[in-house]
Amino acid sequence: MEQAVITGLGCLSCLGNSTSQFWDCLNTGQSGVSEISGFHRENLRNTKAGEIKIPPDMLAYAKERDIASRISLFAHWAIEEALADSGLTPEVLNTPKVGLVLGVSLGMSLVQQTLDYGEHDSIGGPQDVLDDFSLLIEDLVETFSVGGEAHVITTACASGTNAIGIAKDMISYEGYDVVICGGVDTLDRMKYLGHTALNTLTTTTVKPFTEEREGTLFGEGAGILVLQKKSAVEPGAGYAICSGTGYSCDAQYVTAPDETGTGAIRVMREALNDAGVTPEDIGYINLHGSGTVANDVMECTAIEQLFGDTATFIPLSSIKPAIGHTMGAAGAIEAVATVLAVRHQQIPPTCDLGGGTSFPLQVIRGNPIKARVSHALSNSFGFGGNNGAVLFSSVVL
Amino acid sequence: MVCPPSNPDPIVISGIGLLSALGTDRQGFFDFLSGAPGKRPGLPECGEGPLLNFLGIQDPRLKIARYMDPTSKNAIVALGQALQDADLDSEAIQENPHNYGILFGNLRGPLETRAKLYEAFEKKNRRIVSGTLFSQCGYNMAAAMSAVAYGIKGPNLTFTSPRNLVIYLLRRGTQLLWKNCVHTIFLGCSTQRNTSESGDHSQLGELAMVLCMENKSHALQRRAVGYVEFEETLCSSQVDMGSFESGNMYVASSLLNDVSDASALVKQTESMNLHTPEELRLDEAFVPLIKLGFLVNGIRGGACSSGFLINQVNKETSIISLRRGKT
Repeated sequence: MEQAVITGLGCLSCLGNSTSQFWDCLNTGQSGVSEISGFHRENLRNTKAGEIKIPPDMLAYAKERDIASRISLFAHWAIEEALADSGLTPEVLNTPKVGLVLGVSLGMSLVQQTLDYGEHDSIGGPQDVLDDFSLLIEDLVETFSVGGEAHVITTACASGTNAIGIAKDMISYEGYDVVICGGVDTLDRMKYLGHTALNTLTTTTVKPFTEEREGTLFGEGAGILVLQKKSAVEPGAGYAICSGTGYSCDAQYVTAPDETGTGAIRVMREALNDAGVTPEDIGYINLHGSGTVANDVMECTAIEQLFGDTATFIPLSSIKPAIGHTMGAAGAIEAVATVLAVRHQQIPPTCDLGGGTSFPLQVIRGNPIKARVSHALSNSFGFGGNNGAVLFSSVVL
Repeated sequence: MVCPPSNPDPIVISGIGLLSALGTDRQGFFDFLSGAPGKRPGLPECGEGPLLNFLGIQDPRLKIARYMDPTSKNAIVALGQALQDADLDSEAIQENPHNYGILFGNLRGPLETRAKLYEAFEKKNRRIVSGTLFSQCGYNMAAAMSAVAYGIKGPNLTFTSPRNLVIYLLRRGTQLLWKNCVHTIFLGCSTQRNTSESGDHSQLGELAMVLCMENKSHALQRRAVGYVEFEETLCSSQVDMGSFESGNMYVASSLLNDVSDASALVKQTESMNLHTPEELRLDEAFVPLIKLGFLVNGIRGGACSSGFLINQVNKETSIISLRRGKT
């Protein structure tokens, strides 16, 4: 069975407009979360977010390509970086053996999308956004000459992780040569109002895996991975191998996880089995770690149950305090961080924003650590009980 | 792209669930579609309001949440029908819930819920939104609520694509079954009425259809009957139709227009002219799923022993072949 090697990365978040900026800022413990400037902050439970302040060069990029919406701009920008990183040209991509799989959380946004939010944070109603993702996907396919299958997966906050899993399996099981995959998402006032109503937002800062946690904050951006079949790549080349994936559904609640962690255990175990590795082989787990009361205790329970005695030895971290919960992009941006952890044998820290009593697991906070990471897991859990996990392995095993 | 693993467990379709403005009668729906214009039974008198209300369908599973979009409710009903048709009971799912998955296609999300969200938002002077409605706004909710209704805990994935959505859905289902992370996938769609100002808001746009796909080994193990074997192959764009058997098959002839020798083949076969039923206002993207269901239904009902569904997909010809299952 063909393995999938990651040969290109693209990343856009409030920490920076490139993968290298993102990784550098992450490892210096920075947070890009700031006061929301793009839409009205009235009646929001928290007025901070991982908002991307679009710089002039990105605006120029958008204007050059006639891109009119944030989600399209973010997707284009990150895909362009990832493809340049991989060295793949449009000629190579224009065959049925090249695919595109993107994750977006809610599906089409609830508000009309423009580049800047301006006065468009609320519109007359969903009639204006009746359409589907056709335009976004068609546009990306045309821009990047993707000749094969292109689609969007919408599994809430597990979308990005599920998209990567699907892409990996397309290479392993369906004969694809290349699949561009990841996730993209944008902030808007309706999402913040919705999460205000649901009490998922913290009133302070995001404190994952602490006793003091009380909610999350959201962000936006895009994470893109270029997966290629291993037999077409130089031995030892690439960032890492996407070696395992798992999917499950809690089938219980819409806005909260199954507190027993059964679904989370299932996806992590499936990813391990898919990769042919054992719990003891895992050198790092990139947590979903949203900082909500329900998620973190569930995820901690799941890790303890699955990993048993080794649970306390595995370094863990969540990057959500640094960039916010980027929804459909979260699983993909976190996958980028996980891939880089494997590549650089370094665990990015959880941004330490005010301390707290940590769970009794090895949550890396404040500063990165060097570690032997042959295999690493990245988890994502979303509304509707959607769960996903992907496992990355070193190319030099 | 279709590259099965070595010795793949064949895939079968063992059940169909369908809900439309014509009711829950699957055969009646397919008879309506296949009837010649002018010979069809009249369409129902439909008006405002959800389809399930119009049909008078009630089910305890429709009360699993305080609020659900009509597309979620319709999906729950259709999935239940697929279970029944496949002779699967909920106890089997409860024993191994992670071995069952759900794959849905969705083009526009839960429009009625989104409209209600905005209505409520306006009433509150654009200051607050309903958390309940907001939480049901995602494209994934029909699949998610179906999982809650039946306790299905395997992969739960919702896809959208501007082209070939049904083919991609089938490939994803095939991928998961080959991988053996599940042995049964409920695959389908649940579409909504056109609630825009220019739409007529009637139930005629509502449709939910679910196929039960499973590994053949599992179907044999549970002694399933009446299943149809399913396989997709890919060809270069020039397909030699002479290579296919010409007797005793239904062919979705409208899809053969681009294929050489199609007209000759169609003349030789007993064929049904299954054209896009515009009167039902069905979403074009899901017509291949309906045609697939029509063929499966015909094969299972004994009208024929095999059938083909042909589509042009990304410069290749996809041929889905269906054969009456052999035990």
